[in-house]
Amino acid sequence: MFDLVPDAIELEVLTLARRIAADVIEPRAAELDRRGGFPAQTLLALSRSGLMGVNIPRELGGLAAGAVAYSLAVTALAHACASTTVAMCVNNMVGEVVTMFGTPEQRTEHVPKLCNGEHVVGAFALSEAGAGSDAAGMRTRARRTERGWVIEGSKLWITSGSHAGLFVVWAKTSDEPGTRGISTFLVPGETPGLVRGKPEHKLGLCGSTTCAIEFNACEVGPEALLDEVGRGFRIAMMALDGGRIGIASQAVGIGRAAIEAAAAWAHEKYGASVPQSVAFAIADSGTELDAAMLLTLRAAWLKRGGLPFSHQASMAKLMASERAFAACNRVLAVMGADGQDVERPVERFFRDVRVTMIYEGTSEVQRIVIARDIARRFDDARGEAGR
Amino acid sequence: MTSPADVEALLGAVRPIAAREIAPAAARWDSSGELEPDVASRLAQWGLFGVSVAEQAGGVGAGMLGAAAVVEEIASHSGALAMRLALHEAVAIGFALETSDTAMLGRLIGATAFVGAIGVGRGLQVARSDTRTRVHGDVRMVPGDGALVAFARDATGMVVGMVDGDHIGTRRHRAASGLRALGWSDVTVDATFERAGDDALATRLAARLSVLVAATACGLARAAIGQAAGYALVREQFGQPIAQFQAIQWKLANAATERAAAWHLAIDAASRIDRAATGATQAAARAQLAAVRASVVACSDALQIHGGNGYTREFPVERLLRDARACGAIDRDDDDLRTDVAASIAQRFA
Repeated sequence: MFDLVPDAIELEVLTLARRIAADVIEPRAAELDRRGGFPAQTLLALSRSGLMGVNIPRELGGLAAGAVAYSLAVTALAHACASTTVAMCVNNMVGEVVTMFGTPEQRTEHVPKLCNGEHVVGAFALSEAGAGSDAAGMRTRARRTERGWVIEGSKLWITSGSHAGLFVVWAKTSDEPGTRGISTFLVPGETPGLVRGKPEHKLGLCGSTTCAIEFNACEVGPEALLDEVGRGFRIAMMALDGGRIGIASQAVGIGRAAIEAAAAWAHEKYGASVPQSVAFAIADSGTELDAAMLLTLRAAWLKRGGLPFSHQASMAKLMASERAFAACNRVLAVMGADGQDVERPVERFFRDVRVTMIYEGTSEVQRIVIARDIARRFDDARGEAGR
Repeated sequence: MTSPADVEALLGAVRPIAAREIAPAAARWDSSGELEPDVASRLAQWGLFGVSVAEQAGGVGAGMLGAAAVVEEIASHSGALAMRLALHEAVAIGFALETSDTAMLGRLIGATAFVGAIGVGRGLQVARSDTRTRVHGDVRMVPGDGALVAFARDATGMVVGMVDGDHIGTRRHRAASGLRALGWSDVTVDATFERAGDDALATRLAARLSVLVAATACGLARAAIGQAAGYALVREQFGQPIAQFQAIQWKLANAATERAAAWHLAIDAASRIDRAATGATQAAARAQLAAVRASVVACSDALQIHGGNGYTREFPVERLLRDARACGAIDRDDDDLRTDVAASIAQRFA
């Protein structure tokens, strides 16, 4: 069982996130989506509030509020603006990775800057053109030199790549097959040889940037290596497990915003006589999203307690992203032409939410993780019974 | 009656035109949010206005079956253009046919501008007297750039009529998420219908439109399935093309099955309209309902198969998904359609 009641710190973080969402982020969200680009202003507000490091120790500049607080904060922020929230999520993930795997020097050098905005924002450079779901297909290489490492290759779909001050970069450091021989590096954004591509034009999240990053003989010192050589895949998987709690929370926040917008529209159009077709769509979506939020909080609660949560995070992301998309789709279906109007936020929610079924592991990857884990448990149980 | 061979022959002529003239422009139309002014006259030149009209009346003589096939083919390249054509063919040309206005029919078949349509119950007030029917009011989200066919409702029922451009106030463009080049607008209408149709005519026109909305949705779904299948064959992950994975195969199989079922419902409805058979209205509502739903799922799954690439505008699937969702916002939404289908079921069992 997990405890459903947030503690005082978690509630404080939720209140803080809701206030910033209402006062600073939501009023800018539509314009940010229309204009496109990088959410600099809204991220600055998050840096000042501490929400860029929710699960980071206080001595490193974070709120030390834990994974449940992080999930609640992301849900509240995504309700207002998914574009800002995705950059915030990745920054938190980068901060946690450096905190968990970095040396004391790496932590003190980078984590406070990720929390206070000095790095602007952090980026996670794992995916490549040929290595999306399959990290073993990675082509980027890091070659050891007398002065450190030289990174060569290119990464794709890098959130905040246009402005990030710190990149966590994965590269092959040996010819070992599969995911062995992958190492992780911390590469500051101004490093010579790191070339930022043009931001992609996307279906949604138009107020955040996603771009390719080239590493052309990008030379970094020995201090750039995170953890040990060859342990990068493990770092990536652990980071993605936590990241999935963030994406699940994001999906729930967007979905809830959509059904609230639909409820407001229905009230405006039908008054007290909202037809069942609309009311039931809202009811079904609200129920599904609450179930998804509970799965998400379970995974966050396990993470907060230092317990295994990979399987639960996958379930949360799968359920939350698919149900949130279904909610936005239903809402657009019942709103007809009003839903297509870009003056209303629901078409933005529909475009924004769609990517939650793709990034940080597609729904198909989540299903693979969940099915493997269930099979492993079944095998273990059978083994126990046979002894 | 239009035979399958007639439809194939018609498509044989349309496919090269669509591939040559429409496919290269579709992304540009979506990006700019408008069609070039000469697109309507080019469609007329290619003989694509009046497909449902008998040859002796100046049309192609392929009935609604032929019109559905043409619209489906065009939608596989551009949803917005297909929907413009659908509104012109189903509603405007349908109105001229139904009111036996041969002069108007001739003008519409050779038109240089699309005629739009205003959906039922979208804000027009009706004032009826023995001699005239007047409509006035503000209407939101109107596709169309010239004259339009307006539907309105009062306590005594529905009325439908043609409104020429002089009686349409300033067109105020509204940016939309899907079918962006359709020309979603706000307009003020203040007109007297020269020839007003009643409930029955409005219902028949709505059925024609439902068939062509369904055809548009099916065309979008077919394009999405084709894009996804092509991508899955060349995209390799885990050492093999992703088309080898069951999760991908099943998505494609389900999407193709649902799309085929919806297309058959559309063909059935078109055929009933052409034969003036019973149940055409309900068949058309069923077709639109099923096709829009199948199309959204097919386009969403196609985007999923593309992974991160599908989310970018480098690939057409994100446009197909936006367009498919917008098909559900044309004229009658899902709830209106379900109400129609439910009413026919209740009537049958009463």
